[in-house]
Amino acid sequence: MAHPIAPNSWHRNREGLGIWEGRGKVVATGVGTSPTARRWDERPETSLGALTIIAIRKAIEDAGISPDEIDGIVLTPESTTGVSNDPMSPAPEGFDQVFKMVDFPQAGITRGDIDWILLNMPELKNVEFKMNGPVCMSVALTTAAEAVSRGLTKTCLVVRGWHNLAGRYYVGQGAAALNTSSGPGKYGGIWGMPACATTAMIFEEYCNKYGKSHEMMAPFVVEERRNGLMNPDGFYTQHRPEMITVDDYLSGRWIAKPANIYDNDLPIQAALAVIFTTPELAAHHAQKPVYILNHAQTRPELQGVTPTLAEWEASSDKMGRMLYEGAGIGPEDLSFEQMYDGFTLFHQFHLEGLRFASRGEKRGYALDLYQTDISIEGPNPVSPSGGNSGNGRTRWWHHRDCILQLQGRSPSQIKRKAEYGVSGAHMPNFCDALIWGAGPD
Amino acid sequence: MPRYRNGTQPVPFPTPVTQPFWDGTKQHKLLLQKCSACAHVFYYARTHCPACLAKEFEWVEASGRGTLYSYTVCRRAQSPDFAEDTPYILAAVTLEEGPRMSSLLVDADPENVPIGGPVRVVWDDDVSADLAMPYFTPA
Ligand SMILES: [Zn+2]
Repeated sequence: MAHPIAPNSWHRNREGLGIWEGRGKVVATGVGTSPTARRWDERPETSLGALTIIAIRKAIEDAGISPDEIDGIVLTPESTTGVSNDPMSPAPEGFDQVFKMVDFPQAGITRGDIDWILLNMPELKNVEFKMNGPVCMSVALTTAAEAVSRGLTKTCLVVRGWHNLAGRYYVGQGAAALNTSSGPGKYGGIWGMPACATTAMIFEEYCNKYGKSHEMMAPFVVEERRNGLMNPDGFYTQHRPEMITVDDYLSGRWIAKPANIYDNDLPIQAALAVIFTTPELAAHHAQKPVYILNHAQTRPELQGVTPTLAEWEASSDKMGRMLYEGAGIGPEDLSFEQMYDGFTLFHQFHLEGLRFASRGEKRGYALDLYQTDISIEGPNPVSPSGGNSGNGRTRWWHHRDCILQLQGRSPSQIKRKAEYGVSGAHMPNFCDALIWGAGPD
Repeated sequence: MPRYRNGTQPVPFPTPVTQPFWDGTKQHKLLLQKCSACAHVFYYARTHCPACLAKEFEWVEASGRGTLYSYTVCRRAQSPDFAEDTPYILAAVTLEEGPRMSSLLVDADPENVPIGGPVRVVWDDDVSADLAMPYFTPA
C-alpha cells in the first residue's frame, strides 16, 4: 500500500540554508544486517521479506530496546534496480503458508512494504509514523532524520532490502522487455546501453581531461575488496572469500570499456535496518549514539540525455558545499570518506566534490590519491566499508559503516580516531548524503 | 545503404511529441527543436524549452556534423537483442548546433576512437517502414 514520501521541503537541496535545524537532534544506534545470498532460491525463509524481518529484529536487539519502543518506520520499497515481477503476480507456492499477505502478492518478494512488515512482525505494535523513502536507502535515511528531528517519530526504523531473482539482472523489464522502445528508453535503450555505459563514458572523458587512466583505479578496487572481506556480513566474506589482486583487476573483462567486470557491483539479496532516535532516548540504548549533523540532496539538471563531466562535477561540488555548510564542518574534519561506489568509476566524482584529502586540488586528483595509502590503517581512509564493490550491491554498506566506525566497532575500523564521516548515494548528480558525527558538534 | 543493426533490437515508438523527429529521420533529416522565444536549440524532443520554458518552437534541420564528446566500447550487451553486435561503440556526440545526443559510432576502430574528433551522421534505413536510425561515423 502506498505510504507518503517526504515533502520536497524536507530535502536540503540548495545552498544558503545555514546550519541544519536538526543538527545534533537525531542519532543512530542499533544496526541489523541480514545474511546475504547471490539470488533468491524461492524459499519463503530466504525471501526479501524474511531477510527484512531478520534485519529489523537484529537492529532492535543490537540497540538493546524493546520492540514496543519503535514508533516509526521509513522504508525504501524498491528492492532492486534490475528485474522485478509485476506487483500482482502470484507468490511462489508456500509463501502464504509462512507469511501473512497484503493486497498485492509480491510484497516481501520483489517489493518492500511497510504494511507487510507490520503484519508479519506483531511485536511492532506501536508504529504510528509510516513513510516511504523511495529509490535509495539514502532517501530513507534523510527522510527519517527529518522525521525524528521534527518530533514525528521518536524511535524509528530505517529499512531497505534487496531481492535478486534468477536470470539476468536487467533483462526482462523496461525497454529490454519490449519489441518497441518508447519513453526515455527510446533515447537510451535503443542504442543498447548497458547500465554502466554512461559512467564509463564520463570516466573516459575524465581521464582524457586530466591525463589519467583506468589502471589507476586498481588500488582503490583492491582496497575495497580487502575492506569488504573484513566484514562478516558482506557477500564476499560469506560466499566468495577470495582477495583480488591488481592483476585480476587489470585483466578483468570489459563490460563497456573502460568499465570492466570489477567496476560493476554484484547484485545480491540482503536487508539492513538501522534505528534512529533522539539523543535523550539513546541514553538507554546499548550502542553509542552517532549524530546526524546534516543531509543534502542533488538531482540532475540535464540539458541532454547523457550527462557530462561538467554536470557531474558541478553537482558533486554543490553536494560538498551543501553538506559542509549545514554540518558546520569542512573537508579537513572528515576522518574517512564513504560515498557510493557502485559503479567504482564514479566514486572519485563524489570524493572530489567533497575535496576529501585534498591538498588544495579541486578536480582530477582522486586517482592520484588512490596511489597513496587509502587503507583503513592510513591517514585518508577511502571507503573503509568496502562499499558495494567489496560487499555486493545494496547501496547501504557505506551508510552502515559510518555508524559502526563512529561507534568504534566497525569490522574494518579505521586506525585514526573516527570523529566525522560522510556517506551518500548514488549518482554524482543524483545523490542523497549525510554527515555523521561521533558527537553532537 | 549500410546496415548497422542485426534486426533484433527494439524499434523506437514515436509519441506525439517525438513524431516530427522520427518523421525527419525517414528523409535523413536530423531535426532539432529551436525555441521561438530564446533561440535555444535542444534535443531530445520536448513540449517546452528547457532553457526558458516557452512552449513555442520550430523544428530545424541539424547539419549532421559534430564532435565526439565521449564513448564507451560495449562488450557485454545490455540485452540479448544487442548481443550479436558486440563490440559496439556507444557515443555521446556534441552536435554543431549545441545539443548532445546518444548514438552509436559505426565504421570506427574500437581501439582508436578520438575524443573531440569530428563525426557525421549516417542513416540506417533497414529499421522499419516508418523511420531510420541516426548513427555517427568519424568524419
Ligand atoms: Zn527558450
